[in-house]
Amino acid sequence: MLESLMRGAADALGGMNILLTIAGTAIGIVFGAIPGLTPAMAIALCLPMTFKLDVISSMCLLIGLYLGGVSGGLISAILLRIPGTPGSLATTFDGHPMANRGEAGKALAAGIIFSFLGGLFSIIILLFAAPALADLAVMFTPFDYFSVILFSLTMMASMAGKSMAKGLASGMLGMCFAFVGAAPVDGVPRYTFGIVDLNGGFQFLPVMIGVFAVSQVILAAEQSVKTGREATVISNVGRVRITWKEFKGQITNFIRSSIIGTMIGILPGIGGGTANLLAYTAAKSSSKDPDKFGTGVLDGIVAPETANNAAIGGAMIPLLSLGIPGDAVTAILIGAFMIQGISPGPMLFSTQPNLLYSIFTALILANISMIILEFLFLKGFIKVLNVPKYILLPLILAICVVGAIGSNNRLFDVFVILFFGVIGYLMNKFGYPLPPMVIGFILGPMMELNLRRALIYSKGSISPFFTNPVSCVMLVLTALSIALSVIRTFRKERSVPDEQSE
Amino acid sequence: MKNKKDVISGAALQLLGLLVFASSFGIATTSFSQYGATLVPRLVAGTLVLLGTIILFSGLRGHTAAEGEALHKKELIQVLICTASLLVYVLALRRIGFIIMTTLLITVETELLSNWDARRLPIYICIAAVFTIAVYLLFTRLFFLVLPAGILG
Repeated sequence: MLESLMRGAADALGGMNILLTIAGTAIGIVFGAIPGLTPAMAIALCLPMTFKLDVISSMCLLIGLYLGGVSGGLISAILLRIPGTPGSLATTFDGHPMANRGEAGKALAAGIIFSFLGGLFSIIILLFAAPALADLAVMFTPFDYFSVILFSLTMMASMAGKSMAKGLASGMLGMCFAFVGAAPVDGVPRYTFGIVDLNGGFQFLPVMIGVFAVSQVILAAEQSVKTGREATVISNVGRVRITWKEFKGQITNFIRSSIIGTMIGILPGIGGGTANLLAYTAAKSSSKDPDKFGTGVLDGIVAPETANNAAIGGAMIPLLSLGIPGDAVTAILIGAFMIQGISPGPMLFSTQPNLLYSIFTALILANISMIILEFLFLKGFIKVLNVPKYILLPLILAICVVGAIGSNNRLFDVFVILFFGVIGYLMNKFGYPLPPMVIGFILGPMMELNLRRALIYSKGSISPFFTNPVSCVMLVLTALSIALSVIRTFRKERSVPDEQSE
Repeated sequence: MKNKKDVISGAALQLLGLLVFASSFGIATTSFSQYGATLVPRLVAGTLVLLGTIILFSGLRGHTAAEGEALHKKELIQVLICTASLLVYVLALRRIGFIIMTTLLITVETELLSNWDARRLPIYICIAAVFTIAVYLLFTRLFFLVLPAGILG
């Protein structure tokens, strides 16, 4: 392990790779900081640039984008009271009141430092947990894999949105789009409707660009009618620092939030968006002074920012050890692996250990880049917040087109980004969460492949799904997660008529 | 009170499920056909119809709170212009070329997103042209990507 670690670290620490990580982190912070632009969008847009890079260099760039994207959200959460990413939602509760009190510098410093520490905590857990989980996963049969993927899909679907049915429907929709093209196992063409360009199926990259970027442009076009002046940024942040005493006072909060963030990140489908709220609630309920939360206390910034960054390492654990994404961004990372001809999963630990340790090194490097960049160039990032979205989004749209053409060197994929842009917009308007669709699109073919392999292996019998221990546990967990969501939905539905009748 | 969005989307999901199911009969069969290429699409189609029914009935009974407001006429027009401009762009890209079409697209979209601020049109055109040429040169010269040159080629 030590030898692989040294080699992997040496590969990732090449001059070009360091530059790519820093550049990725900086671009990620900008995308994270500007509300409406997301880390997923940043990665989807930068993926075409990785075609000419080797796998380690492309991972350095993409991990920088991921980590920077998650971390950049705190800037707009504190200064604009709009979370740059869903993972920074809880940061607005105490961050903005502090900024209004003239303590923006302190709030930003706490957010940046504890984002760094939360990320570091989860990377260390990843370093030890991923190889252990991969050792276990090597023994997985197609029955186990099918059940693990089914669990991931249902967890994602039931947790992502307000309605379980809509989350599941979104996941199924993603699977339907993945049906187009050659079927797994036997390569039989399906659902191409006579269109030659569909014989290879929808390419991953144009689908992501359409869903995450083009849909945002259409949404912005709709909202431009009622958008008045954009919210003003608090640009006078003062000194960006916290005292040692303030830092020491947050250590318990940091440990609790790191554990919450990492654990939530590991669970498929729920990432920083849930982790930050849970960590905030946990910090509030264990505080001696819970009433102060929401008025501008450091605890209320440290908890969500630690947790959302800790979710990054957590989400990477199932990605690297099982080949199953923990959230929408890691789903795109799976696509990035595929572009390089690599399937992430347990075998990676035995076939390409250097690559894995390069990824761990890139994560640490991106984390260090993040803290340095956010402290040194904070004023620059704040200035970017002032660039109007009506200028930024059309420029992003142009890059979307280039990305789509570049993915397969054909103009048909520009149609694909438009089609999925409209689908993404409609799903947004009708209240269907997008992440389950992405996960369904990625995991659908994997699930079908393992189901069909398993059924061929068992000659059509479904009993091995229940007699294999891992598969059985996963199926029970799947049933439990569905049952819990149904109860949650029923409770919510009962409360809606009550509210309406009041 | 009915939740129209759920009623419409529930019905659309049912329709899609039926379409996926019906189209599965056109899929060729192989020696693996017992657990073949139609198995999962049919399972998913059935689940889609079921979920569509749940969402539709929940919308009819008004059990879910309506999310967001309905689109106003002006907003709908903006969305349609945005989508139509993209469609025209895609259709004309090969013939007219990347530089001209992308400059036009960025300009139209900027105007659209700024809610038709005509005073700044010359600035928007300049930004669009400079950005498009920079992107074209970057990707064709550095990343060796083939972008349609069109009438300028």
